[in-house]
Amino acid sequence: MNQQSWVYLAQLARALQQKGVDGTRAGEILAELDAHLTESGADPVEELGPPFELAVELANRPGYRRRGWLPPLWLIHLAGVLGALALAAALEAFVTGSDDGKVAIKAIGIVYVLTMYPASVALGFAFTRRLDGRSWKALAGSRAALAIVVTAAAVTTLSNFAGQRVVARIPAPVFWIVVVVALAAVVILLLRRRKPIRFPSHAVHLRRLTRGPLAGRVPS
Amino acid sequence: MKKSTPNTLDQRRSQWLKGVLDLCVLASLLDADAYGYELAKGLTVAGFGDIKGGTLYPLLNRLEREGYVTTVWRASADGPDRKYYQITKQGRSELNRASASWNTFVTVSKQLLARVNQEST
Repeated sequence: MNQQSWVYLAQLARALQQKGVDGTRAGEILAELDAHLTESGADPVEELGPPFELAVELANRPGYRRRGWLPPLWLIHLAGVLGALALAAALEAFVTGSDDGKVAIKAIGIVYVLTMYPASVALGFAFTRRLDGRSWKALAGSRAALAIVVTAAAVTTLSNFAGQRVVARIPAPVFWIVVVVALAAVVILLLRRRKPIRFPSHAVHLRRLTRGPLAGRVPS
Repeated sequence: MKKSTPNTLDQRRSQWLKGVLDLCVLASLLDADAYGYELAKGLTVAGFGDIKGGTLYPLLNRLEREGYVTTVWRASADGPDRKYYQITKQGRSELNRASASWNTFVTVSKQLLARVNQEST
């Protein structure tokens, strides 16, 4: 398999996972297309169309999606923001200590979390894209780069207004419960969303398609 | 969404193909099991033009889900294992039923379109 096909299959693997295609089906599809691309030597996008469109096509067939509830991305990010907010406030209280057993939520903390969270998601996204074989140069003009620049500007501007003002004081135990619940929710939701792809026994070498840092590299 | 009429011969051909490609795939499997790339090549040789994997594989997956074909992996001498498709009894009876209906459709169309030739000559 050439580099182009490997990158294509890695992108398709990710798209199939995102669309919630059953892991065993996804593994079969990838192994079958690997054989097709190897034998035909065709350009993968020309032959199969854009990976995301093919994944949508396959995911929309009844019986292809995993049964059960698939959490939408916004819910995962909502839990993420909540968890990060609570964690930031709780950590500050842990470090500085509080006399009355309450955790102070400062405006500046909210500003930091609401801006840093999307930026770190964007950065993570950019990083995985980079590993799909795109150049840093292409990323510089991407939405991820824009998100980071906007964040930096927002943090500087908003923190001037926010300052050290305390918005609310909430009992510490309540706070720690929110932290634990929100972070647990993120983990559970992500696990629900990303089921591992199970490849047929003769195609186990394709497992490396789905292993983060190696996706986008042809195994030697 | 607005549905436009096909304005090139290629668009027409691809619309016709949508209606009959699954039957042609099933018919290709009558004599022997075949894998995806083999089927695509066979359809091209038969005169269908270039059948893209992006069209063929979703179709094969649908036929499998509907129980018209079953699949089995077989080793290949040179390269990755291949997924072979095998027509089922259910697939054969659907092919019989649908191809009879398709033939009627073609006959009717032919009769109507025959007038075009007569008028133009």
